[in-house]
Amino acid sequence: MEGFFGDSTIPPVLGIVLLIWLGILVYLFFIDAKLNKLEKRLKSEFENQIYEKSEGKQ
Amino acid sequence: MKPVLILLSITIATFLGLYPSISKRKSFLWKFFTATILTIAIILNFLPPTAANINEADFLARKNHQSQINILFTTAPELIKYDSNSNHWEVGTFNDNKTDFVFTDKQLSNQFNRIAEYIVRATYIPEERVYKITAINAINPIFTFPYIPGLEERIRIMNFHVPMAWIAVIAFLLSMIYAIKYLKSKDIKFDLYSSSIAAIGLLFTFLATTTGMIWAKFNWGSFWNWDPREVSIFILLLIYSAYFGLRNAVNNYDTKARLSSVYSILAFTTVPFLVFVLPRLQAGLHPGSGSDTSIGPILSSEKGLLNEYLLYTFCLSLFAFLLLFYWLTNLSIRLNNNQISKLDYTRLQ
Repeated sequence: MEGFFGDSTIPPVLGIVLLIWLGILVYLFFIDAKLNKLEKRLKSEFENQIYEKSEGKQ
Repeated sequence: MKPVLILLSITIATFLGLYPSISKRKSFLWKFFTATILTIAIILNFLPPTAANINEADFLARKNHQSQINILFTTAPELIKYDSNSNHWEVGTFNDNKTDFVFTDKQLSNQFNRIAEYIVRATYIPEERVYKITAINAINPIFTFPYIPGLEERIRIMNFHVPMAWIAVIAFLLSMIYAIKYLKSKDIKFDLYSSSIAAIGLLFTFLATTTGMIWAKFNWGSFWNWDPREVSIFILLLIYSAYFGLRNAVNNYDTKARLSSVYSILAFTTVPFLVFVLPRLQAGLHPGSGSDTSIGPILSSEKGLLNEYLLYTFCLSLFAFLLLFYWLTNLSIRLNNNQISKLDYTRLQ
């Protein structure tokens, strides 16, 4: 199989699209990781708060 | 075959997107799978060349089509003959056809060096009744996109534009389902799901409009033509933008959730009319409009309207973009959920 790229304008377009897609992917993974951290932090802060409240009542 | 493949893509992607939960963090494997499928879909939508087969070339030749097109045929070195009188090479093909191919560049004769499928770039010369080959684009291509006069290389955008519009409809349907669930249970998480899905649905409506505008510029001459389908998607954009206007206008969360859930149900009742009915009643530029003989290449049961490779890549794109939609929805729900949790946390303090 030779000359898979049919039109000479297609490779640059594909290159640009893949670059944009790569950027979006990196951003999505980054946001996902950041959200995960935030979820963990909020969870522990919330648990601490409830614990402190119950301690205060006692 | 066509409806089965399309339904299968939607069902599997929806199952993967909603399992085990729409709001729980997706596993790394899930995200890696989505990223890989989307990358493959993008590559398969851009890589293969477009090519007309020899019968289509015959048809175009009869119509005196004179712009350059890509034609696929099978030939062998024995079928390439040099004609000293006219000083050009004549190309015979294995296909029983009426179209003749010639070329004058000596270097091309060296490239026809074995029995193979060739995609050539050629222009029809009506005076000589031949197709003049200017270049060989591909030899033994694995896949080819169909050559559609007037669309040519732009056929690829169909696999981005149509799935995005369909995903927007799926998103608005899901948003309505969760709005009903909220009104039934008064559980705030369903309102969160409904609004987050509507936001991503609006994003996909915007993407469908943008890709359509790019397509329209190169096919119909301008970005916006006030075609019935363009008008209906514009109205849809306004309706769902108003949904967020409404949400932002109300401060009390319970009132906001109740009002926007009712609005979401009312808004979705317009979607089937705006997407499936109105553009098919009026004459327009889009395929499947009132002036068209079929209901469009994707939904029509007529044979030959959608080439097999185009159907497979369309289903793959639909599947991949649906997975991306569920990923974005998941992120949006978790982000909004954290904002609510933060509010609860500050309230506690």
